[in-house]
Amino acid sequence: MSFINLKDKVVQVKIVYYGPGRCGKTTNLEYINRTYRKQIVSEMVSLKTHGDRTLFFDFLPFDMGQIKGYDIKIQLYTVPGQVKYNATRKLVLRGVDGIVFVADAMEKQREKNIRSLNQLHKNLQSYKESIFRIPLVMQYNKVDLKEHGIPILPTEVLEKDLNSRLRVPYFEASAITGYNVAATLKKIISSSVISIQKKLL
Amino acid sequence: MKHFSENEYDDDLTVGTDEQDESYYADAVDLFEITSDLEAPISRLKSLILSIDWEITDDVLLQFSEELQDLKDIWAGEKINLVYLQALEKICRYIYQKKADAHPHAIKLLLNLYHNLERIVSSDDLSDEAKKEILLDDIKRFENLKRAISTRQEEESRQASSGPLPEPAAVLPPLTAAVVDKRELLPLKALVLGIDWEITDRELNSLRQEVVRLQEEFVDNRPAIILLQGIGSLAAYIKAKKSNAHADAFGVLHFFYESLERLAVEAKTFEEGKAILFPAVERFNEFKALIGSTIASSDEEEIEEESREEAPAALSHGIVPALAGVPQDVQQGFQAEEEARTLGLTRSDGILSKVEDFFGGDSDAAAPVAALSSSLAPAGEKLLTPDEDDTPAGDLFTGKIDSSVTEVTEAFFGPDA
Repeated sequence: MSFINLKDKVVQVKIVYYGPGRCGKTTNLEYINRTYRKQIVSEMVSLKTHGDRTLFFDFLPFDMGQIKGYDIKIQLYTVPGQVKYNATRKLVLRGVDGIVFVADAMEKQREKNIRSLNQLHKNLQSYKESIFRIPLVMQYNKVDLKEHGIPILPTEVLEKDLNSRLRVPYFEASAITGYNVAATLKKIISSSVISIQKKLL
Repeated sequence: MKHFSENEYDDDLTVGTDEQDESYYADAVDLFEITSDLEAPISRLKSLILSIDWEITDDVLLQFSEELQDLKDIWAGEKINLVYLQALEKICRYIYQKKADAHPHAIKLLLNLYHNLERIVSSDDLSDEAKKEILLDDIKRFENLKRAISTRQEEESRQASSGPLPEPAAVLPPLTAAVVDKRELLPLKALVLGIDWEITDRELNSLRQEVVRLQEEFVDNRPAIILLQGIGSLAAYIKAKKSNAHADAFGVLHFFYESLERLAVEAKTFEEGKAILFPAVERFNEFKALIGSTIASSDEEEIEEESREEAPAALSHGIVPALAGVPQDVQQGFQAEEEARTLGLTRSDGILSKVEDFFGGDSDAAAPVAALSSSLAPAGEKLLTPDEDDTPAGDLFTGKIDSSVTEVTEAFFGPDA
């Protein structure tokens, strides 16, 4: 459940980038952090959690046209790099409002993507949350590698592997070039806000 | 009427006792201040030591004993380290047998021994001579403790023969309305709510300090002290288990805080205080029973899960799609568009347009996509059409969502949107 600061009239929305190791989660955040400096409150923060690092940064309170005085404040989180323990991933998921699942489109990463998504499902269950209820956007990253002759999974295969049950919005992307990075972010923000609205009703 | 003193409510049994003896500390021992490498072999031992300092439970002591065995294997050739492990093991066994009745200096010495062991293990500057000196000092403290325990046992035997202790009910302090001031609880409330939002060592350490402070503040209010002890125990559990903490721990933590707050507002008599306290204690016991069966296996599961994920992802014959095991009655994930529709949202300018305003339109798309479009063909042609840049591939996500989300904003924030 998102955090509502009644005093400052800010709704904090926690969005987590989740996915297998080296799939491009941190690259997503770094790109966003670089591209939208003006909208970001602080530097990207690295938290040491349970022997691993968690990256996060806050956006400035989101200008929703100052509707009734409430702003939206987006917080982006990810667990970068080769994660040694699942503990950090679970920790970061606590209180999450929306998730971007970053899948690695490289052929050789096919099973890793599936395992990671299954693990996400389990980790959410441990917080009594469901992958079927939480706003989720799929991002099939590294599509640019095809150009370099690296075998890439067709989107249809990725969809079948990862999204056949969920049927959530998906984006082909290249986090390293920025392709569809913002589109993914915008989509998860809007879905998360709708979800929060539903919960509050 | 006898009033309880600070010492009797002291949960870590290490300060304020009549037997206070600073010689058990070589230096100021604050394990929270030592920044150790969390990947180091000793890090798990540290978390267990801190747990014992906070609360003595069978589970923690058992894990502590197991960890010592593991470290003995790791440090097989390190004589000084092994002596420390031996001493820690002996104290651990003693505490395990005596639990809360253990001599308060036992825990104090346990902390001290750990502190010095960590210094020895983590410091590259210490010479072998310096390490031996530290060890010899600690051996002296260990011998002192053995003597103190013998003396204490003799005293207890004498007291037992001199007459029975008063019944607990006879020494319960009266509860007065002014004992707990709700305003005093505000910092604690902030910390409890903060943990609900994000778990960090800093928050948990602050919570611990606040609990200790309030225990001193409400020293004459036994129900409040018990609730605070419960909050402290839950925080220690969350700190030890971190993200593996059972989800119910947070609910119980809230319940304890709310009970404490009710105590401040509603309880005018001891009986009223008990009526608030008992459900909390009951819930705490239920929670303990709930986690009892899972606590030992969680670490193993974690490593197992990790090893599965990091295993080479060789393609096999039959790849099972993700979530294949989920019952078929669960149809699909969160569908923002449908959810918006069920909320009766129809207006056309909505959250997406606000998002666009915030991010300044397609600032991520122009340069990178242009660079990409020149190199990505034929797949790139489809992907990089300017009009489609912010549109997900496929037909699952369409512009329709934009037409519905606005009313979400309105419903949430009111019609001023």
